[in-house]
Amino acid sequence: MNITTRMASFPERPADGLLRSFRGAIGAQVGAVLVLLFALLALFAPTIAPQNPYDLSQVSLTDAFNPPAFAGGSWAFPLGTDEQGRDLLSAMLFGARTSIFVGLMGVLLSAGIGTFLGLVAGYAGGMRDSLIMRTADVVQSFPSILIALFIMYFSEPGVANVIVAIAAVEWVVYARTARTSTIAEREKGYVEAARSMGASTTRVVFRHLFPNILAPIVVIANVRFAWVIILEASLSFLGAGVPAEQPSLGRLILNGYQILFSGYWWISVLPGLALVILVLGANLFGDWLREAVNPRLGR
Amino acid sequence: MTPRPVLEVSDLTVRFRVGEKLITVVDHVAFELQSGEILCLVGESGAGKSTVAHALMRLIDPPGEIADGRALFAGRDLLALNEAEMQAVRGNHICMIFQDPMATLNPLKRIGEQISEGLRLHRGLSRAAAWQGAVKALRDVGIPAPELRARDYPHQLSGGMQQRAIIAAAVAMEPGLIIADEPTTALDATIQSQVLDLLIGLTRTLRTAVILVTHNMALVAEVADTIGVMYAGALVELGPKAAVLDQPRHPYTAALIGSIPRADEPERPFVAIPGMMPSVSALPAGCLFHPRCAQMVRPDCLQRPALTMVGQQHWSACHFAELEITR
Repeated sequence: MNITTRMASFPERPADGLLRSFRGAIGAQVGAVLVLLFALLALFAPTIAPQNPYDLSQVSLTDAFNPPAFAGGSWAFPLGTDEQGRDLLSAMLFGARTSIFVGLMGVLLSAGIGTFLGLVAGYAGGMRDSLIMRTADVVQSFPSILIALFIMYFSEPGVANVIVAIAAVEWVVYARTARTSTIAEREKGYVEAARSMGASTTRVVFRHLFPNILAPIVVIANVRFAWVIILEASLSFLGAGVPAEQPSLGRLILNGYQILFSGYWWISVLPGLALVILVLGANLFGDWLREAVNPRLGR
Repeated sequence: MTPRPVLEVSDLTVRFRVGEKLITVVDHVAFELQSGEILCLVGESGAGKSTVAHALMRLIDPPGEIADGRALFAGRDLLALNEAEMQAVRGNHICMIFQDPMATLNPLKRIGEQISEGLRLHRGLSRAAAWQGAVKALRDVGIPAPELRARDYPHQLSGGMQQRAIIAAAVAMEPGLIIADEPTTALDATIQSQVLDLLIGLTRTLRTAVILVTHNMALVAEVADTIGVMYAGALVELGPKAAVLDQPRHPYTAALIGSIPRADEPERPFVAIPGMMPSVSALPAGCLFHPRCAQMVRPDCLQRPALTMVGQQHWSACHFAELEITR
């Protein structure tokens, strides 16, 4: 960068540097495009899907086990059909819709709960800190899928319950980060200054301190988004996730799994491939973001 | 008969719990402040000046605690208020200015928002009215193009401008008392006096009482009405500026003044005080200063001297304050 452009943009906002770094990061761009593509497909699934795969009047059993068009099937069902004659492309579009919805909501709920608890633990300290962080230790000492399975075992299968089960495991990550950042920020002058201005503790924590710990939380949320989608897919694949009427990509993999070796590979493999691409895209973007905002990596 | 003081502090004592021990960092400090009066609290680092300032704002966090004392402000004891009542006083009737303006300002909020906050919290102004108040406050402290600067983020202003903005926020509330904790220490030497003149000028106009915590004796000589000298947590001398600087009645004050190089007396040697201020966790018995005292130490010095009146509004905590101090 030459000196004139540097002068012209002075003082540089953090967002400017991030944008510059993004322009040079091909992986991040590919990731962003993939995630955006999936998000758009999912958002407009009802409009672009050839059929509504869960409206039984549109599905005919006589169409069952059609292979994908590229494997000798007809273009009426570009990605083939499943054992009930559902158009797999439509099922996958709707499946991605559920997966992304659960991923987003799971991240939002766990980030919300975790950040709140981390702020409280970090700012209040003492008993509240111990209580929250020891609970986090206990949660983290189990494999997350086990806890989520346990919760699903005691609740109705349903999208909302899956989100709750995911948040019950995932909040820990945000709580730890929020607590660490809060402890560091708590000692800064502006926190004391806010108190000296007569701001209540709630105001100090949520109006003054919270915005200053948000950056790492946003990064983690991006990184964990892919992980939440995988967690949901795993739950659904184990039959403890979303219901059959609202299948996610994971649930679609389960549908074709039993007949995977009977020659009907596409029913499982194609939703699996879609899942891989979505998660890969989210990871590429998340990993770039994590490194781009890390000052220790010298950007 | 002097008018009723704005602030009457008595027996202010702050302790910190370190392990099992309770350490007294501010020991029975007492002083009065009239409206418009500027009190400079001076002393070495660790003497407890800042702790007094924070205690008056009730910003002492555990493991510290205000163990004793009264601080009557406008007839109410600040130390007896509950937290909600204290929040209504902080930033409203008493404003505080801190050392490092960059750290004091929230990096993610516009200058205007930060000045608005007090007006919105304590005056119940709308966002728009408070913003207008903030712009006016910036104009009052002489910041050019205040409408534009109000929209800036802290890092876009220089340190001097930042501290002006903070002064603007404090003065905009027209408080009865401003507590400034080393307000110019973090600034460039060239703008220290500008910022200080601004603060003092505005508070003189508004007849705001000021407690100025500093270790800069030159600054004290310039602006103080009253000087309070602290040593190892105790107030050892308190009096009008002229009396304290010209006829110090405590050997520590005398030594402190003697250790300042002066341009107008180039021949006079300046003398460092031997030894170090004792840590508040290991105070000497009796007079806190006697191990370093340049005067002849007498048996009385093993008794802790009380702050006693030695002149008009002039107190000293020395057994021999009546005797002439040899420099």
